[in-house]
Amino acid sequence: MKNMKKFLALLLALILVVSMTACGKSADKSGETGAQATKAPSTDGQTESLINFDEEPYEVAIENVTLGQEYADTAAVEAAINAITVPAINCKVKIVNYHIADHATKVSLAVAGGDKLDLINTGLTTALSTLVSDGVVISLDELLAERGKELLAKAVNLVKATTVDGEVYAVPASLYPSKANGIGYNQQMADEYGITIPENVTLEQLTAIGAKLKAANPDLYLNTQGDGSLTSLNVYYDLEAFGGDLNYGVIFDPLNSTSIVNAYESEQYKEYCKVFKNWKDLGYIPADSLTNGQNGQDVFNAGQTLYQWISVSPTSEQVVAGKGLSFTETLVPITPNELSTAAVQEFAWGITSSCDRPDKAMDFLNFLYTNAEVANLLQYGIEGTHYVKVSDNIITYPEGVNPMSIGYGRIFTQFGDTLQQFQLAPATESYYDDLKAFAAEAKPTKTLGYVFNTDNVATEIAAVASVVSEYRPVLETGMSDNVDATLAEFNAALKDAGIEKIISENQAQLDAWLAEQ
Amino acid sequence: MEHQVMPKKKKKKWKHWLPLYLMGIPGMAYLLINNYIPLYGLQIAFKKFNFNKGIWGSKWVGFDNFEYLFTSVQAFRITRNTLLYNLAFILLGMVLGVTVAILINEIVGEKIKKFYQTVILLPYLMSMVIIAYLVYAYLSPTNGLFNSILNTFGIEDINWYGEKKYWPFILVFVNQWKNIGFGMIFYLSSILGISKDYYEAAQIDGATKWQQIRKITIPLLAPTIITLLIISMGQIFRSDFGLFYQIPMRQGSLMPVTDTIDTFVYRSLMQKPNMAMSSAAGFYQSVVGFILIVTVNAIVRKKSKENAMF
Repeated sequence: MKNMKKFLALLLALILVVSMTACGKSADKSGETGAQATKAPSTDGQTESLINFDEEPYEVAIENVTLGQEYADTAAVEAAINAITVPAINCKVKIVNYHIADHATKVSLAVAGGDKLDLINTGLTTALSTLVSDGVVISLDELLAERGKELLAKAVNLVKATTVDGEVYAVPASLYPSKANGIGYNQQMADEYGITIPENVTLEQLTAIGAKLKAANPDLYLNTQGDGSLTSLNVYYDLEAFGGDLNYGVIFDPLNSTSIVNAYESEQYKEYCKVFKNWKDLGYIPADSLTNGQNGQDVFNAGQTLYQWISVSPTSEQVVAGKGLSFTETLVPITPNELSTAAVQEFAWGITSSCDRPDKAMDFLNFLYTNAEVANLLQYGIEGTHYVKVSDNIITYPEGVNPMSIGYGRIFTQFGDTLQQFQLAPATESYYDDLKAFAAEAKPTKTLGYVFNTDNVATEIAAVASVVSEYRPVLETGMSDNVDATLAEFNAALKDAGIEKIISENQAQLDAWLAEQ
Repeated sequence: MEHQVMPKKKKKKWKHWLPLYLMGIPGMAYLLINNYIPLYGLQIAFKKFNFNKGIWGSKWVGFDNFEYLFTSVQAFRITRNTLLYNLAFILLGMVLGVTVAILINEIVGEKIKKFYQTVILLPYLMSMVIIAYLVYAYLSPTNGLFNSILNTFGIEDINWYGEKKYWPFILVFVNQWKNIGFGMIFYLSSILGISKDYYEAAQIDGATKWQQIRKITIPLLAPTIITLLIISMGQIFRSDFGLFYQIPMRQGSLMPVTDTIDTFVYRSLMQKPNMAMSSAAGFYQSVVGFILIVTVNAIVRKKSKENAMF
């Protein structure tokens, strides 16, 4: 018995030691490879000369964030890309398809030691500042300067928005990320009932449109807020939310202002809640959307609502073209065309801290943004199978293929420089000029480049998030019987949870950042 | 045991039991890999976890990660809900489980007995998401069954998903409906293990069915009941996430009576996933569960030593 106990104790100790050293190893790893990367020769500054063609081609695992499609032809696309990249930069590619709903979890697990994953979409599901403070992504400063020169040159005005504590941690995936917020409406439905929706439409005008629609066809709805988990305040009012879903405070009119206020206490929010309450009472939005489990997009795609909210830009038009809707969705901007930190960070590439060869990952990224062929392969798949040409640069789906059944495609991830790439019809050859013009006229917000570091208020953020999930859906779906009373209760609970501490921390960091500029 | 075995004989004993130990290896390995090695990760709860530095290299932050569980306004509410619901579930589950087990045991027909057993166990095998929609079919504000019934009696619609006063009953009912079959199996197997001799002797003495149940079945079931009670005490700070998250359809106005520690943690960290803070919650629940198991067991040991687990 005693021997047995001793043996067990020994075994346990052994296992503990082994597991500890194993973890120690993985912790050191990134340091080692970082050193390797800097040791690489950089004599004449040409990217090609940095590449060692004598070694085995390294396989770069790159993410493709989807709506859950399996993409049966992924291997064929990889092979087509490898045929180009192996001779050019001695590097292979592995496409990892993730469902956007699992994306945040899958990335955490992969970096903690699961799947191999080198290039990830930062900012899409987890804020870049969080990824940086959790150590998920590595600093790209040296890699960009050495191996990503062409890419850096293209993104030079944007990387200040992906800079955290003075170091660049991500490269913008969309090189023209400015956008307006607004609505996309069902053109056929609007035509049928004689409805026109002007640019910069107000909530009041939308109420009148709702009355017209409801009178013409009582089975249709103007809009739906779904289960209320996503706010649409930023659609109707121009605001900067620091990627905090309104919980970190907001700046109204961010083109001119830098003062952070509590969105939930604002007059705008009260009016917004009252409009939705009114719409619910009048039947413009479904009365059971909180519980019926349908999300706004599905209801819109099924042709049951007149409009849904969406970001408005040439890039967004491409996303709409890729949805394969049975009707035309027309986009109408409400907020100005802005370039903000959040817009840049939403689609960006980062290199994970579990990446074995950050140098090769950067080589690939740089190549992706200079070589149109690889970018088109990643973005659209193989010509003839996944797309056919309409004109020189405009493509469409082959007959009998739709975005849901296609063998390869992309939904959320942007691969490559949009100006070098094919575009989906109904875009025309003038798309490229339109995009350049749109990017040129975008106005930068005053906080472009500022990133809120939430480390000091993590406790408050968790508490506020739980209060918000309790009250906000009720208010924003118009289900509260007394908006004023619910809002007052909501704000009292938010104060107890510490929202004021979050906002003052945010303002203090912003003021310090502004002073540095 | 050790003083019975002489030191010289020890070697022989060891060899004798070796096949049994070998048989135990898979189970032991499972326990070790699944339950003991992960204990290493508990330190995350006290660290600011950084993927790049790994578990061991991350910075210690003391009890910072636990703070959000106690400083929030909802701290009292979630603790109360978790404790009271679990107490209700445990006590009712015990009473109903024993009752149903005894009733099933009294059924004479073998086929009909199997039929009832299966029917009662069936909900246990269903996913909470499906049950949530079953409940929704009854309670839906637009076309739910209950509202249609109320309407035929001239009573106005009740907004089930907006009125919190009904939910303690709904949740307890759903929990019992789902889990009663599983509890019943434990009790039924114990009842089947009771020797028929007792009942025969009681019948000869003229005891009624009720007296047999009270004087024979229940006292002999007591060890099983107590063991299950002690085990469930360890889970009292953990709530059935599916039940509290899915069944009330995440309705904010119901949260004062449906929010428990697990749903609170989920809602708090949804937006900004934080491994350290979620481990802190799990760690806290385990510690409270451990203390409760030891306490309840100590009480049981004091009252009747043979029924205590350790």
